[in-house]
Amino acid sequence: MTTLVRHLYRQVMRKGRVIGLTVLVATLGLILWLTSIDSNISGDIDNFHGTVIAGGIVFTLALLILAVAVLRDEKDGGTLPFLYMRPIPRGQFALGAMATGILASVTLAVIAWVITALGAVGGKIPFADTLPALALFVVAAVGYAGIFVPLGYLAPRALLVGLVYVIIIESIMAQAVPSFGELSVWRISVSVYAGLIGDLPDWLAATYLEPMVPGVGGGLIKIAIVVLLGWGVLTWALKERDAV
Amino acid sequence: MSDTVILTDISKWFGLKVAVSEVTIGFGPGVTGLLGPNGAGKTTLMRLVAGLQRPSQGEVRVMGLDPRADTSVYRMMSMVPEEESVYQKLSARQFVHTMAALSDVDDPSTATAEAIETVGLTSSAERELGGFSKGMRQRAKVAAALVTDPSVLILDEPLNGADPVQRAELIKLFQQLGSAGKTLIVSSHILGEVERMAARIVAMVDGRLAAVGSVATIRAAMTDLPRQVFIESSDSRTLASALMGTQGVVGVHLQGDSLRVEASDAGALAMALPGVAVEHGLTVISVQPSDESLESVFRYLVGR
Repeated sequence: MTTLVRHLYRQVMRKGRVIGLTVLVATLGLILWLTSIDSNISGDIDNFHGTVIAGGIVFTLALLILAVAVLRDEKDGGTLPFLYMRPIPRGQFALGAMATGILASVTLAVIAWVITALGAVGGKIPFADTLPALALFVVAAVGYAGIFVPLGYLAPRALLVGLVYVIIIESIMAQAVPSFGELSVWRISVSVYAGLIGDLPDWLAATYLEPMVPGVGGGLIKIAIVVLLGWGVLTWALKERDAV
Repeated sequence: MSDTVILTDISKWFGLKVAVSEVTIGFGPGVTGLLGPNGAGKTTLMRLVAGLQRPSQGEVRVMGLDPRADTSVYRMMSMVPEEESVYQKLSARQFVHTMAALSDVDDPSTATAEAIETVGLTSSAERELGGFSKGMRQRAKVAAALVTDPSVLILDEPLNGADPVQRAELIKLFQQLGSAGKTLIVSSHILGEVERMAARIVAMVDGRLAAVGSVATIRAAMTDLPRQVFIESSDSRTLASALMGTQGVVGVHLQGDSLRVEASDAGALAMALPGVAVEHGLTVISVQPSDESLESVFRYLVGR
């Protein structure tokens, strides 16, 4: 399985794609740095929380582009038969693909956090206050990989379907319908973030957290369940659906 | 020898389109050529054997295993897909080595070197596949298929893009593998090449089996189609009128200086011809069957 993960990771983390996604996720750091020019906002920790949580949509879109590509690139490129026709049980194959998606997404999360932290520190935010953002990005990266990797295998227009999911379900429906909110990976990640910082501004909690409550342990368990379900769906799809 | 690949009542449909319909056939050691016009269902049939697609109906067994249910079958089966796609940024050696490592081949480096040597890519092994010609990519894909030393090899248009020398070498390689007891299922739209490499032909038309066997067997089974024989003689007109009443001859056409004879029984014509020639004082210069080739048989089968 190590060979499979190494191979898939190498394919998905192509230079051009990584550069493009780095530019995309750099938006958050850039916003933090630019807004710090205003002396009223400079050093404002609430502005930092607001930027990383509200601006998280940019990071989510970058994760979508990256994670769906793990298997979609192989399918669209016609190279999937080379991997599919190997003596690897489908469950292990799915595990390898999920691990690759998580590894690549976490790599992007670290890149996003480094740039965001640089922008924040440049805007007079203490470095230590940026650390919970790393947890936010990593947890979201793992959770979204659990959804987007199977989506990439199942849906021919995975990017479009993922975009609809992120914008309609995760953003609009999650805010309007509480039951959708409880299924939102971003809200689960924000609950972990809120659990770490202890005090999320009311307007952020109302818009990006509710009906969830702050809590690290519960959030991590929910993310683990999302990944487990994603693995199950992908294993089923590899067994039951046509590979080409 | 017994069949290593057995398809039983296999069908595959995509929505309302039936790609393969109720096919029952076995493939044993040796080279089998899979023929058919575009859209006949050849690629779908190969994908069903390879386990890349699930049959809508029926059963596939490769070495006794269901390729959709048991991935250990891939220790014994490889495929060269029709698609040109390769990993552009990998070198030929990296590509073949990765496939060997993914298949848990003992000593993947040695197996890789041997497979690359077999297809004659050793001097280009470190080059990226993206810079390869189409023919070289095909050879790299064949090397990736051979690196596991499979007993069953499925080759979908493996000669595409190869130059004449490469084609000849690949055909020779496939013949050697077939002679070594491996089961090769090869599709190609170049009939002459299929005829050269495959002793057994499977022809598909509209998703169904149209014929199975050697070219001669298939042609002989087409009893409703008279054989076409070209005869050159010292006097074609006289020979034409003399043959008109001969048993087994159903039509005679003058074509320039020669005759095209349609015979329902080619054997009877062959027996009668010398006597007719002697009786009328004619010299027969040449007798050439015109529709014994795979191309002619194929044309009959697909109705073109």
